[in-house]
Parts: sequence; C-alpha cells; structure tokens
Amino acid sequence: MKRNAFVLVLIVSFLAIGTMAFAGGAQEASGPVTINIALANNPISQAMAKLVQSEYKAEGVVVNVSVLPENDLRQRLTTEASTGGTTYDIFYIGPYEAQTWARNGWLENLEPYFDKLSSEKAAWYDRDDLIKGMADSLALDGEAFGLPFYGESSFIMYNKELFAQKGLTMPMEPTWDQIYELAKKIHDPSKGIVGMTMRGAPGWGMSGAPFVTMVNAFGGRFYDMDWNATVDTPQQRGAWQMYKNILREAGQADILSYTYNECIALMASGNAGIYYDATSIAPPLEAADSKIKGKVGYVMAPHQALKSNTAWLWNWSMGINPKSSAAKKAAAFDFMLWATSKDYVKKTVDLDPTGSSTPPASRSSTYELPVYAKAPYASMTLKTLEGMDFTKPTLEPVPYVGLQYIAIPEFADAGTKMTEYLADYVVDKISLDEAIRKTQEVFEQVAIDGNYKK
Amino acid sequence: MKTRKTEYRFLMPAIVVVAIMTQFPFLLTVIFSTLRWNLSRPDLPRTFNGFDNYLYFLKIESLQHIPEFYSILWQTVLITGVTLLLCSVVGFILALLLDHEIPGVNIARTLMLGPFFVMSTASGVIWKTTIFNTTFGWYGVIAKALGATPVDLVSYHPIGVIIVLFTWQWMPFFILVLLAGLQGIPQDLVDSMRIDGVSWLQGVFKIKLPLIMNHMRVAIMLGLVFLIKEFGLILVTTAGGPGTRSYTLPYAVYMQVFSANNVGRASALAVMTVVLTLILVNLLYRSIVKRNARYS
Repeated sequence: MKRNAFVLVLIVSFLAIGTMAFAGGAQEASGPVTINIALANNPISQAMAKLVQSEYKAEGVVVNVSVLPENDLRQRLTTEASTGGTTYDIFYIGPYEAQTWARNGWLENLEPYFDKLSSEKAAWYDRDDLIKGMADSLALDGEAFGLPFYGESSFIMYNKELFAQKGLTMPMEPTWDQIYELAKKIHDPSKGIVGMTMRGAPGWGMSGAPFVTMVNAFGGRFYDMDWNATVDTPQQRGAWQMYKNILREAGQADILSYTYNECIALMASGNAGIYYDATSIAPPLEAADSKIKGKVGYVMAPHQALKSNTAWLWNWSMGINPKSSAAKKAAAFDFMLWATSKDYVKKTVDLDPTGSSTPPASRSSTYELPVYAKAPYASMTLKTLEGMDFTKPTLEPVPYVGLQYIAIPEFADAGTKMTEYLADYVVDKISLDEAIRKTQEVFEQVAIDGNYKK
Repeated sequence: MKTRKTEYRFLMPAIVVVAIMTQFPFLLTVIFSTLRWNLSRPDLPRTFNGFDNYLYFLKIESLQHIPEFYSILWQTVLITGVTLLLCSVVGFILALLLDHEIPGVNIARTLMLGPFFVMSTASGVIWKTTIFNTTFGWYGVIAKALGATPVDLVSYHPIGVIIVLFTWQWMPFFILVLLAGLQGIPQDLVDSMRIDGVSWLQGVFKIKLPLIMNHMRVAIMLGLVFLIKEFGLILVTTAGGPGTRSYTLPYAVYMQVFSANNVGRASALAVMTVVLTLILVNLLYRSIVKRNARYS
C-alpha cells in the first residue's frame, strides 16, 4: 500500500494541477478520540457542520469537521480511500462511490455495529424509517456500508400559470410523449417563453442524470446480462431523439451551457413551462425571491415503456474508513447514528423553521413534520421516493444497479463521453447513427477493459 | 585534461538535479504508458501491455471508424496553427503601430499588454458569461438590439471561440517581442531608408520584417510551446465540447487521468503530445540556427 501511495504521489505531482495532502496517520494512544470528517459545501451539509459543534455530545470524542467543494471532496476522498489513508475517519460520499468502494473494501461493513446496538438505541434510531431506496443504494448484498444523510429523487415541475393561460393540464403520471407535446404548446420564443428546460451541459452527473433516466423510461439499457453493450437499440434511439427534440423544439437557446443553476434561474424567472430535475430543486422555486412561488405544480418523473421507477436517486451519505482504529470507528458509527437520526432532523427544524437546513429524503418520518407536510412539493417527493428501486433500474434485466448511472467505476468516464456525444448530436454536429455508434464503442470498451465481459 | 575532470565534477550535482527534475518524470511517464493501469479499479492487476495503450489511440481498423485521436490531433494543430498565424500577423501590425513615438504611446502599449496578464481561467469565464452568453452577454444583447437572433457561439463554433480567446490572450506576447525587435532597428538605418525614398510598404516588408525575423521565430516558437499546452481556457469555456469538438491533446490527457482514471492511456497520450511538440519546436529551432549561421 505504501508503494502504491508513493507511485500515486509521483504521477499526480507531475501530471497534475493543484496540491494534495497526504497526512500521515497520526494515532494518539490515549486521551480523547478525535474523528475527522470532510463535508461537501452544499447548504444542508454546512448546516450539519455548524450543528456538530453546538449539539453533538459524546464523552471523550472530538469531531473535527471540514468543508470542501464537492469536486475537491470527491477527488480527495477517492485518493484517500484508494491509497489507504487515514486523514478522514468518515467518508462523506454518494451511492455511486458507496457501491464500488464497498466492493473494493474501502468501506467498513456496518452490520456488526448495528448488531451490537442496545435495543433502546436501536428503537431510538428506527432503522426501518430510513427510506428503502436510499438505504438500498448504500448496501451491498443487503448489508449496509453507509447511512443516508440526505438525498434526492427527480420529478417534473411545471408552471401552473403558463399552463392555465394555454388551457393545458398536466397529467399526474405523464409519459415523455405527453411532456413533449405539452412543451411544444407552451414554447413561445416571441414572448421569451421556453417550453421545457433540462440540463444540457455534458457530464455524467449533469445532463447524464436526466438523460439516463430517460433511457430507462424508454426501455433501454446499457448492457445485457452478458455485459454486451446495448446502446445501439431502438429503445435507446428513442430516448436520444426525444432528448434532442424536446430541447431543440421547445428548450432553452444555449442548450449546452445549461447546468441546473441556469435551469433553476430560468424556471424561477417564470419564463419556462416545464422543468425535469431533482426533487431538491423545488425549495428554491418556492423561495421568497422566486417569481413562481406558489405557482409550481409537481408530478411524477415521466415514464414511457417502463411504467414506474423512472426517477433518479442520489444521496449524500456517511461510511466508515476501514483503516481507522477501532476506537475511532466506534466513535464514528455513533456520530453517524446521531447525524442520520430523527432527533437530528427535529433539531434542524427547531433551529431553522423554514426547513432549508433539514436533510430531506432520508427518512419517511421527516415528511410528517409540520414544516414539511405543508410544503407544496412534499407529498410528491415522498411518493417519488417510495417508488424507487435502486436494484431494478430497467425494463429488461441488467447486470448492474443504479438509476441515473451505472454503479461501476468506469461509468464516470463512459457516461461523460456519452453526454459529450449527446451534446454533439443535439447541436447537429454529428448524426444519431454516429453518436450511437461511438457511445456503443465506448461502453463495449469499458466491458472489455474492466474484465466484466467473460 | 585534469582541469576538465574537475569542472565536470563541479557540474555533477547540478546535472543530477536537473536530470532528476526534468527527465525522471518523463521517464516515469514512458514507463507508465506501457502499463494497463486504471486507478479506479484496484481489483484489477497492473500489468505490462507493451504498446497497447498507444495502439488504442493510433490503430485504424477501418476508414469509416477513424479513432478520435486523429480528430483531436487535427483540432490541436488547427487551433495552434491558426492562433499562431493570427498572433504573428496581427501582432506584427499592432507592433508597427505601437512603434511610433506619439503622445500616450506608453499608455497604449500598457493597455495592449493587458490580456496577457489576466489568468486564462478568469478570462475564459469572463468571455463565456459576460460576452458570449446569448441572454445576459454583450453579444446577445447587441444582437437582439439589432434584431438578429444570437447563436450560441460556444456550442456551435467552439473552435472559433477558442481561437479568438487564445489570440486575445497571446497576441500581447507577440506584440511585446516584435516591438522589442522593431525598436532594436538602428535609427540611422531608418533615416537612410527615408533618404533613399523607400515606400512604406517596401520599408515594412523588405527591410523591417526581415530584420526582425529572428524575433518573429522566437515568438512563434515560444507561442507554440505555450499554446499547445494551453488548457485552462478550454476547460472553463467549452470544456472540450460539444462532444470532443474542441478537445486538444492536453485536454484529452487531463480527461484520461481525472475522468477515466486511466494512468496507462493518459501517459501514452502525454508521451505522444511531448513527441509532437518536440518535433515542431526542433524544426523551428533549426531554422533559427541555420539563419544565424548564414548571417554570421
């Protein structure tokens, strides 16, 4: 492992941009146990960083929290986990990492820790209250390797005012065909009204997220059970065409520069009819400075050939670094229970009654709290969350899990390439045939390079 | 003989340091380029696979399916070549303008150099959001005021956008070097030029340009080295897109390491980039040396 780290330092230092800290594992023999965790710099995680100092009390335990930008965090933790570092005792990650890291042995199995819990503590924690799809996304063969802190799924948000003006109604469970027709009817460039907005900027976590759920909805898949790439199928072609048609005929003008930030701005300005994105986007649309506050309707993620489970799933979760000392691991587990407990959720509501620092989508009980129950998006969010099945993403059986992505380490790259070809196709730089062929080749290569194909 | 040996021993530490600092990383890259090594798959063994990483990029299986490497190579050559051409032509013209002793010329010179001192990532973000954006940018606002529909330049003309930005950023460097050359032309030569009744065009192209040709070559050579590895501007503006339409070799290397985690393939690509740059720089360098030999 040491040699591994050395070699990695060498490549990174000459190929790379930026610096990287390899802190030696400073182990203290006695005294208080210090556990280290780095969080992502999004509002809900930052709220936890504040709460830890004032609210978390455990004897002989000091929790050090640092906050890093998402990309930095991901890169640093990946390096840390792959080289066996002990800078952080808790890894703050998503289901994409959890799946592969658990398989690589970079995460501690949490089942033994749960087994050791006293019955009172187990009843207090109420594990069954964790939303099943979320917990499943952090488990390998039914055994938990992470606990969900907060998460999101995806649904359709639409501007009720624009719909009323045109005399249109949004079905509760729309198909992509219906969404496309509605978007075209709303679209009115002369008045600056965009029919539908979606992420267009390439990247597996950017346009890849809505697009892969679209592929799933159309009955497409990326691999058959023998790991043959199945991008070149009529189902996939249907999804590719639909994505392009919606955005070219009824979407924003600079399609490819739209990340979710631009989409939110456009939607909140009242100039867009429909918006398909994460459930966590709803609060900013209902915020005081949004022009469409109280005018947004929420319905299920669109389906097509696949009738249900067409939304996506993401979460920020916590797992334990298996290289940390036993004392630290025990302290880390206790801290994770606290951070993902009902008490924590209640605490955030007490301190911030708007609910903007309350972790959503981790526990069903969160949606029974008054602050949440009255939010216009609450019931649809819960309905979406409860319908998710992380393990059966597609119409036909597949050898992988994951909803808006495939939970293999190579997908970050292959998925990004796919969205690049998608972008290329959307702006007519290449034909559908060429885009599909290139993507098919990428996925086929992944199956061969990664030894998936037997 | 003895003195020579002593000198050599004195030089040894410096040579060793320089060799380790400059050549060792490259040597390591060459070694890595022969490995099958994916950082995100610690479960797969790291194995020697000869030239497979190179073949992955270079091998043409059929003429319909030419690997992406060649289009990326072409894009790199196109972007670098056109930028160098624009920089040297326009840079020369601007340097001529700035070579006049008129009031305020120093301010003008300083202003012209401005873009060179802006961080490339910062200038990329500024251009992308405040200028090229079709809704909020100057370009979008002006186009709409004139009754035209603004086209999303970053998506539809990515290479053009990058060439414009590169030129904007690097032209000052060319102006700086060429202006130094122009100011180094002896005044009596300029005077005798005037007395002999040389026209402006003749003066510029038959006398001044040949005299500063070495400056031009140096500017082009350094510009080539800088431009071929320029990366930040591409990352923040087009991010190589749409598709791989504005990938250059360094950007492709970056994606291979930080997106694909594929150390072997990234190293192979890096080695090929270095070889390409060395060949081009060598050709330019030789032409300078040859020219100097002829003049001396």
